[in-house]
Amino acid sequence: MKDCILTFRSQTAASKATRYLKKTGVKVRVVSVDPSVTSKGCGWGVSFDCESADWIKNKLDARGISYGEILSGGI
Amino acid sequence: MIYFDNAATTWPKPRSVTEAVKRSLTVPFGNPGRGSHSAAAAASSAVYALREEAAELFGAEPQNVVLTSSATQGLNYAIKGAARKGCKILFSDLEHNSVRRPALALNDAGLCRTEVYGSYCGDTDKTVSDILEKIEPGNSVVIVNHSSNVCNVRLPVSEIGKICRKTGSVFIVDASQSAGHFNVDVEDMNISVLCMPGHKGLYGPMGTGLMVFSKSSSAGISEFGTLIEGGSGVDSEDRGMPYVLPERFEAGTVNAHGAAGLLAGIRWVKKLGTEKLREKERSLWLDLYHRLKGSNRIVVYGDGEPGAVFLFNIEGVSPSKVGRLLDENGICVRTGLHCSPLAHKTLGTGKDGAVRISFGFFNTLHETEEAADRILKIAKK
Repeated sequence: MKDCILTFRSQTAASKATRYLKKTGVKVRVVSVDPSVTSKGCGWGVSFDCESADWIKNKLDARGISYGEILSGGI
Repeated sequence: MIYFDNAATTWPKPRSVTEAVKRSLTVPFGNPGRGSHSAAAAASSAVYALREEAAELFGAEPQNVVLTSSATQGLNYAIKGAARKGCKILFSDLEHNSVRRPALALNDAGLCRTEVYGSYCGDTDKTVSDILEKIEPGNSVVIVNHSSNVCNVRLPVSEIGKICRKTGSVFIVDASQSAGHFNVDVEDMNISVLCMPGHKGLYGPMGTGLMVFSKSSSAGISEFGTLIEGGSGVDSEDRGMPYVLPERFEAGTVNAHGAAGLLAGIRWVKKLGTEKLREKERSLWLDLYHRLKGSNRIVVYGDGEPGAVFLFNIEGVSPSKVGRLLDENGICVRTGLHCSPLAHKTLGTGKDGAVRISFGFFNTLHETEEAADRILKIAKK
């Protein structure tokens, strides 16, 4: 299994996505992202199995939850 | 002891609230929003769950629920954050100092003008007409005390919200005494920002409060200035606070232990239902009123509207003396102006204010009977 991280601007936004995704049955968790990865420092992300990436993005799009980019290769 | 000061803070708290706070102080509970390790995650989870529960209760989105230390802090953020040079601030004649003082501070600093509109004992038409006369379209901040802390008059939030929407005014609601008692929906009522304490009708711990933004206010959050700046865990390299909720107004560590308790409090209120809480308070008010109404020395204020607050005076006895005598008999009430000099002036209680009995869900009819006996004895002396 390969980990991917979807970035979010804030911890609250990452929490919102995580709680929603957990309700759909997918295994995710909130993680910190290195400041160098984000444009303004202090990043947040949601980590998950890369194979679920498209499914997760579709779910978040449908729910209107905005996110940043996908970092493949895990934490 | 009989505790009749629930408008100041509810007591006792539901067992689930004390257990939640105790648990948060016992298990690993890190700093929410500042890390993703398991201890921080436990606290973050509780804080986000609080945002979700509050959002559901007040018709908002979870990220638009800001944690504050009190209603006063939230009201200061909202009023001073929304004020623009030359604006007009309108507030009612029932406002608490948590609204009156920040508004007057802006007036005294030469930033905004203030004007008071009437509550007219709950006469909606008169209040609406007064606001329409005083409001400046596109340049006003209107503040309303949803339910007073000294009488049971409720102001017409929905109607005022419609005026604010039509005139492009910022609408701030102080729900200090109504949150947990009455249904409040920020979207349905066109509320820009809703402020409340966590430790009153929501039965959480002291040191907690919430500020709830509507979707439209959230979208225009760059229009709201900040009062406190600091670490937010977001956009750390920027000079100012992030233009994102809730972090824009949450500089520094939030009271996560308090949040755990408030989460339990809101869940308790939801399970019980606001109607049941109101029914209990009305029955206590009516019982006390019927026991005291025979005395011609007792003056009850507030047009006989039953509810959570029972305000009275005994002719010839100062409110503070009544409070002392009741306290000597194990009955806790609050006397004076209750930080609401404007409301007392409106009600005509006099310079020493009045005696306030305020009910909570855990009060009983046996307690109102005992309090009435004591009050009647004081009135007979």
